[in-house]
Amino acid sequence: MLSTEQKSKNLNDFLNGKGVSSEIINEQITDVFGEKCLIVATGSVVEGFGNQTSDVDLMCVVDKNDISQLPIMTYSNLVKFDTEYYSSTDIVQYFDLIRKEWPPTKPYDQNKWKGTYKAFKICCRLTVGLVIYNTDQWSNIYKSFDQELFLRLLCKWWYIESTRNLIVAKILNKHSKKTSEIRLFDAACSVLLAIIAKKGECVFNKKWISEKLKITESVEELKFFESLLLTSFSFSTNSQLYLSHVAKVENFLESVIPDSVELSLCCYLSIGVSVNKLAEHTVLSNWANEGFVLPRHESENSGLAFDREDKLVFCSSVTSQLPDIVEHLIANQFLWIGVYQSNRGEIYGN
Amino acid sequence: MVIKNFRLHVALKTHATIRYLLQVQAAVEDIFGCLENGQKLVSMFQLRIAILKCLSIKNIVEGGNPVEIHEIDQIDYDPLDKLLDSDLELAAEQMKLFVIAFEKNEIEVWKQQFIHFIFTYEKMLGFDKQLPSVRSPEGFQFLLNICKNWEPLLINLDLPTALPSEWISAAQQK
Repeated sequence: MLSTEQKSKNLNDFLNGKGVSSEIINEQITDVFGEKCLIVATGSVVEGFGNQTSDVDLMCVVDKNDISQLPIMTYSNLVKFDTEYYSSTDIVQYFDLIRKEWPPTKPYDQNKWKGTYKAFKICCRLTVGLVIYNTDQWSNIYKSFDQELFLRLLCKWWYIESTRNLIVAKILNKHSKKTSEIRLFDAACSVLLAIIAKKGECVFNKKWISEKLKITESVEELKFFESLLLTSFSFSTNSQLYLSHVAKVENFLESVIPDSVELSLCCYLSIGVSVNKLAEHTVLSNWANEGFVLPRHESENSGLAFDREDKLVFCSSVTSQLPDIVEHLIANQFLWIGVYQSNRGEIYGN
Repeated sequence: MVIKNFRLHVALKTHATIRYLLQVQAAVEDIFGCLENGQKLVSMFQLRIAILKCLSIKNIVEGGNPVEIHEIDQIDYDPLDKLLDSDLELAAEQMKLFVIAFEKNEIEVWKQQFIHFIFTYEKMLGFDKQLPSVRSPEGFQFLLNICKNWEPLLINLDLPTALPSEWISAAQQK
């Protein structure tokens, strides 16, 4: 990763090129959201990838709870600053959250996944950023954040994301080849991000994959990424290409974590999908305005079950063949899929 | 004006419009900015995003699910399920045109046809005028008006908010 001096140079060069002094940054921060604890400049400008239209992204941690992260846009000499404010309590919680084991050893739902996704995203931006201001207390908190440990955790996060997307891509390939391609693209991007993290670089935004692959001298991976982009939206008519990209993602996954972890799938009803109370064998999507009937005997025999909150649950080893009914629910956007670490091949929910 | 499908009308004026303002416009700006910096693959990545988001707007028009969680690769969201193979062929063609233009150093010509391509999807949103850039004060005000005027209808139709969840404080989400 870049040294503090290099990040500082990148930021100053960008601002000076636009006739703006770096001291202007403090003027972009308002006190309306509470007392400042930490200001970090982050994003493409600091990393040296910025172009003439780039914004300067600022993250400001304040000593106040419950604030919106609506970016506040300000301009100075045609430089656009995007400032996001975070509560100090939330940031400490994000630091704690990512140190917990991922994936969990038990099934989890999309809310837990979303919380962890956000924690990794914010920690990643703070890690690559340049500290502009901090209080003594926040200087210590920031220093205690172990970057090497974070990169290992980030590598595993992207490994699991790639696995999860690849599973769904394979299921969708039987039902909707168009969408299967999207999931395969996400699986490919995720494994490339895992490789980048393994090589000591930190990135969360997928648009910078190619730049980070160049920095880490990942020639084969860069070639694969270019091929993925070149063939976008054309897998549904080229199954040979689809299969070769699946094989490539699988090879990369093996290179990231050679001793594969035993994993299981957990499925929950997607957000916005609910069980019809009048006929419990019907699930409804109030987003797409569509319903899906689960024949009662099929749902009972397939291992589908309802938890205490009346959410539909299904769990299975990632290597098992899924029942048709579960595949149909996944293909119709009714089920969200998570991947958890199973001990002794344990299967929950059945 | 007679609205034949009220649910679709609301989906276009909220979820689809906000997706266009926040994601399509940002991706297009990135494509052009990165091109000036010689970052071909970053431009291609953003080109794919811009096209995919445009396709997802057409998918809503065709009766697809309007709701996508902002900035998350949502594993249970299908942005293409109501589209035809011909829609994807057009999209694949755009990727190829970009590469050819880049290699032949004809990017300026490509930009014009790409802006036209994007605009065909913007027109599906059903506004009388071309939408302002969300980075301009006028565009940001337009975004705020969309939220103010249409959010209550989303609630009545049992559709989730069209705003990114990060913009709404935890207390408001409860």
